[in-house]
Amino acid sequence: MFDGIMAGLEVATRPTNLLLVSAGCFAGTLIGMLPGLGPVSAIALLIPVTYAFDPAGALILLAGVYYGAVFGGSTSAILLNAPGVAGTVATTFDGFPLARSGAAGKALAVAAYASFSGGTLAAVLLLVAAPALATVSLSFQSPEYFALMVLGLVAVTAFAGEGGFAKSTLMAVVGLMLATVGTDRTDGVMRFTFGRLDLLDGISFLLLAMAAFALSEVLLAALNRETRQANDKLADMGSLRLSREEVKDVAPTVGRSSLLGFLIGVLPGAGATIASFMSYAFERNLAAPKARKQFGKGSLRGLAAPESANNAASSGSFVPLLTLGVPGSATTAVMLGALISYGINPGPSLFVDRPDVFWGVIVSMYLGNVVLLILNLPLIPYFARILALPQTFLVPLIVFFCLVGVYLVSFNVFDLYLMIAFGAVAVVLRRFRYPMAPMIVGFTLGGLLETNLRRSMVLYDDSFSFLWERPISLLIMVLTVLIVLLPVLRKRWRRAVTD
Amino acid sequence: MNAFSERLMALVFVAFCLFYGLSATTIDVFPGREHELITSRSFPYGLTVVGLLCALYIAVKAGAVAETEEAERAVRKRLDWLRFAGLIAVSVAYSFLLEHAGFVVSTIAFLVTGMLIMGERRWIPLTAAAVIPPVMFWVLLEFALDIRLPSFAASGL
Repeated sequence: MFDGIMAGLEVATRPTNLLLVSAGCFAGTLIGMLPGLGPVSAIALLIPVTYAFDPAGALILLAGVYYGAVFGGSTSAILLNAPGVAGTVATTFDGFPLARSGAAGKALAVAAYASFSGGTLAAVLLLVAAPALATVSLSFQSPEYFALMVLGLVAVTAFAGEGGFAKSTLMAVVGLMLATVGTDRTDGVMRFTFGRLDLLDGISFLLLAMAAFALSEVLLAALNRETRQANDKLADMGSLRLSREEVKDVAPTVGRSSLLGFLIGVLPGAGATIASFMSYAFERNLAAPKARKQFGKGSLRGLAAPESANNAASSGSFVPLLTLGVPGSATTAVMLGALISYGINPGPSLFVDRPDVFWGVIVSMYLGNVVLLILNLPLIPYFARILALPQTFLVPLIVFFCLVGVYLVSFNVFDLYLMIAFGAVAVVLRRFRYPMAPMIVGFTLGGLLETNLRRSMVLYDDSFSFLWERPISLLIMVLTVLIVLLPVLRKRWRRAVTD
Repeated sequence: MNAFSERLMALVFVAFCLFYGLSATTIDVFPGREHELITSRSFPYGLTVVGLLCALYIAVKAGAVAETEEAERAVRKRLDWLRFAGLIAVSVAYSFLLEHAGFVVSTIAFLVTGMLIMGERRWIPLTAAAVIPPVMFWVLLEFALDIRLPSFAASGL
């Protein structure tokens, strides 16, 4: 393995490849910041450019684009509350409140450091444990995936905070309901389309996320007469520096979330979204009561957790791709297509047949993280200036940003009408303190939850016994129950102590 | 929000869940699977039940929100529903015009109207903010990323 790492280092540090990873990170950051264009579109757009290079160089460029686009998405999530991809939704929970309270610089810096640390730890884990983890990921089947989805859903619902448990659960159910719109993945029958062909593919994630967060945010700003005064605070970017206490507070979070993110990222189909939500919920649960109250209002830990987890999960998703040829996410699926078009067949033999590609990509992932940090930190003050724009300009520009972002995905104006309607409803719901995050989580996990439940039921003859007969699913379900019961038990314990 | 509006909102959710549940009865079941335990309708039925339970619980328990009448009145006074409705209307108009008037023309018109609704009256910065971003965006997408945006037939923009 050591020889492999050295070979990878040699490939990744070639001047052309260093240049490629830097260009990839830069282009990825720019594209990721644009509305509607996430890592998948960024990679798909640049595949034709990569044919000019050898396979290792091409993959290194694409890995750079991937990381850059993930970070670019986080930037718009923090500054504009506009998560372009599902993996950055959890970033908005604390990133946007931080930016709104005049600490946009610090929020972006924490995101950059956390992404860097998450990516670095994941790259090390990838070097050490890639082949072993690939075999473990294969033992995850429908029952385990179903249990994992339930855990993700319960974790976020239980800790959504604002408005209480009932409202959070209701919003998660609404998200699950919206996920059932369109063609049923198992039977192929139409559900809740009401005869409209536009709804055959269901509601797009971007549409719902933009409506629930960015559009509703600006509509709320338009609704508020005092918006103009409030903007003065946003113009202040604040310091980029973290105090020693803040570093001490955030560092363990980054370590835990990176590990969790990487392990979830390794599972095909789970990916950065579940990783970011679960690490957020996990950190919130671990926090002391005082620190927990800060979650959702601008907690640095609440921002660092999803940021490190989604970056680590992005690295983790390369494990099944490179070792088994199984794409773990939509982005790695596009990369699989690219690999095949370069004449490379990913799978167990990739180690042996093309060590330059295998180790070169792994090492350049780490270099990609370094480049991303060097590139993005100096640019933070420029990014943050977006917030200094007066609201009279910013509000219409963000509405434009949202509408065009959604239009670019489907090129269908029906989606725009739908988004405006969802945005207006979201404003009313937010005024009634119904949290949006559980709805988005429910929507994201809904399809997978139902498909895996139905597959498991078929495997176990219409019985729910898969939940306790399989050790991994049993373990996950026990964790789920613990997450639900933990706040109650903690309250009782505290009462007993004070008595 | 007072207990009455909280309850009203919860009842809206009850109505939504009932509508969803009733619509679920019209979903076709794949031929041959009629007698299976889990079909295309099962998941929506389950969601309807959980949704109804949550909404009814909120309706019954409403009233615990700690907000005084006075604070609520102050919040209501700060709200500008006209500006909100104006922005929604102009967004709908933009969605309609996008494919008819082309990206550049409709976006400039949308941004100018949106900024005027938001209260901007300084014409030079307003024109700059309404013209530069859409043109830059159009150039970036059309020429750098090769993504075609809707164009106005006469101008090509």
